[in-house]
Amino acid sequence: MDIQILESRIAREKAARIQAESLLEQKSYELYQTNKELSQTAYNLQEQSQQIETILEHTIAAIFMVDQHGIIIRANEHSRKLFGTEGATTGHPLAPLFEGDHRATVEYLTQKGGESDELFDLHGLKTDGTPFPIEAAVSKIEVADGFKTVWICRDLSSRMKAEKRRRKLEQELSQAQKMEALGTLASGIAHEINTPIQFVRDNIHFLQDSFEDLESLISEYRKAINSLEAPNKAEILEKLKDAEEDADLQFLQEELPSCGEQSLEGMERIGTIVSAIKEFSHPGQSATADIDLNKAIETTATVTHNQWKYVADLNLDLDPNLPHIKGNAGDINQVMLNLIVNAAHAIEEQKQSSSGAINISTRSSASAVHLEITDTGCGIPEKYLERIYDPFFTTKEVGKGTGQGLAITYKIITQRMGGSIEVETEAGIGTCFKITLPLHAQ
Amino acid sequence: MKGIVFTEFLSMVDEVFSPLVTEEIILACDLKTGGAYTSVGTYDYKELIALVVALSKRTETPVPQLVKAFGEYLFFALEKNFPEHIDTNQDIFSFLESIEDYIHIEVKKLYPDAQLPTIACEQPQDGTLLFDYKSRCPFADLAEGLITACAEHFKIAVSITREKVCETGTSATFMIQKMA
Repeated sequence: MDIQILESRIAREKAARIQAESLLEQKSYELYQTNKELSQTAYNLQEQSQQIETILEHTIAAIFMVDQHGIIIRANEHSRKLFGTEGATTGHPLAPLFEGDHRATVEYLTQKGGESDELFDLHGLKTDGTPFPIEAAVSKIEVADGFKTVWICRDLSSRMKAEKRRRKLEQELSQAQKMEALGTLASGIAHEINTPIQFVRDNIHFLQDSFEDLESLISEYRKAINSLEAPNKAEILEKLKDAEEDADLQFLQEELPSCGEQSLEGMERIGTIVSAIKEFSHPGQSATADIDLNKAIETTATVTHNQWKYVADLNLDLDPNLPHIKGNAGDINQVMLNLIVNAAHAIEEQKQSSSGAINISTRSSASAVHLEITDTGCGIPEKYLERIYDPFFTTKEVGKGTGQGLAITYKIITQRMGGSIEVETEAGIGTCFKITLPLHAQ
Repeated sequence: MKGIVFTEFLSMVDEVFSPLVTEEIILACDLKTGGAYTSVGTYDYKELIALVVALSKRTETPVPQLVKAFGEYLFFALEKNFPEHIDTNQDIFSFLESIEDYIHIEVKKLYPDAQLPTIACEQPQDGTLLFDYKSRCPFADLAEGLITACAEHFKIAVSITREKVCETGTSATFMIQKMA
């Protein structure tokens, strides 16, 4: 190779070397930058990992990562606390932590990689074999060698206890409201009972007096019978006539049957009122039973008689073929009581010259019964309509309403009986509550 | 285009012709780089075309023939520098099929700005491979040379025919058939 060629080559190699050095410098800088970014990314990842770890370890739920064979490959601290066993830690199968049939569900979901769209209930097992309620969610994670499932299990024991306590308190509140309503009605009911008692007592006095008169008359009759052979028959007959007149026998013959009849009717009225109160105030069974809605309406109408009789006529238009509904008789009595008393108060507030009206009707359709209670009271102002079912909301004067009536009514109808309640009202015209109750409990 | 192609081309001219021819064609082309290349750099492919054309004139050899010959030379250079990418394959077809899904991906990792051809392979029947080449550079002949050398590397006799021919040389489909 001659010198000229070599010189050209050297020149090109130099140029190439400068290019290569420049390239190397550039790549070194890029490498440095990349390394710096990687370090920051690694730091961020570590920080995130620590945060996630902290969340996992401090969350009040057991969290498991489980492989396709159902073996726990990761479990947080709370898992062991929740199940109270070392079995809830890494390396142990997940399924034995659950009770009976639920074990198969867990096995199936871990092996098939099932996912739950929503929370579902399971029964976990404590070390001593005591089952406890769990709310669980499972999700599937795809990994290079297949999939894993992540289980989140939360102990429902406390929540269920609180729920039970809440239900009991609600029941107590409901009963208290009923008793409070009964207390309000007490003087009226006493008056309702007192009226028949008064005339029954008068009748008994009358019977007592009548019996004394009859006793004198009978004595004279006996004397007459004993003197049948005596010669002074005319004198004896005269004495008998005088005794009959003294006893007012004709009056007694006319009055005594009706006196008995009246007394019996009075006693029956008292019996009806007492049995209505008894039926009404009974806390009842929490379980649902067949309820005769018409009977419940009649019972409540009786109990509340004194509340409405001075301000309104209560007209019942009850479907005689109304099917029974499922529910709690105490609940429906309470609903009727609240609505009738409210209607009476609304009519009273309207201060109309003539007597108002409370109309109650029942009807049925294929799947439900329909109850309407209409009054000619003052109506509900539109601004209050959204709040009438709120607990403790009342527009009545102090001492007249607790604000619990419609709140409890709404709860009974919608939550306990699965029905619906609607209200139509016009100020100064009246109010109509329309209740629909399903025939089949939901 | 990666610098290794340029450096290997100039090496081939040195070896097959002479260093003098190399210097002459560089001088004849008036290249922006002046013919100074490093294997890790990236250069305009048009400089390679200019060098090939100059070599063709200088040696009075047709361009396609030169480019194909360079393809064969380049394969053996790559084989020498990157044996790990070739030796993992047992067979010519599996190697050719791995170009797009493996080699090009590895190249992209090292050189994200590399502009690589697109290769699609299909085996319509046993012993036959359709090798579809598409590039912005007109180097279908280079691809044929590479395939030819590849067959030699795997010590198998093949016939290579072009099914679809693009006049610009930017795309071609080669039917490669193993010969009994």
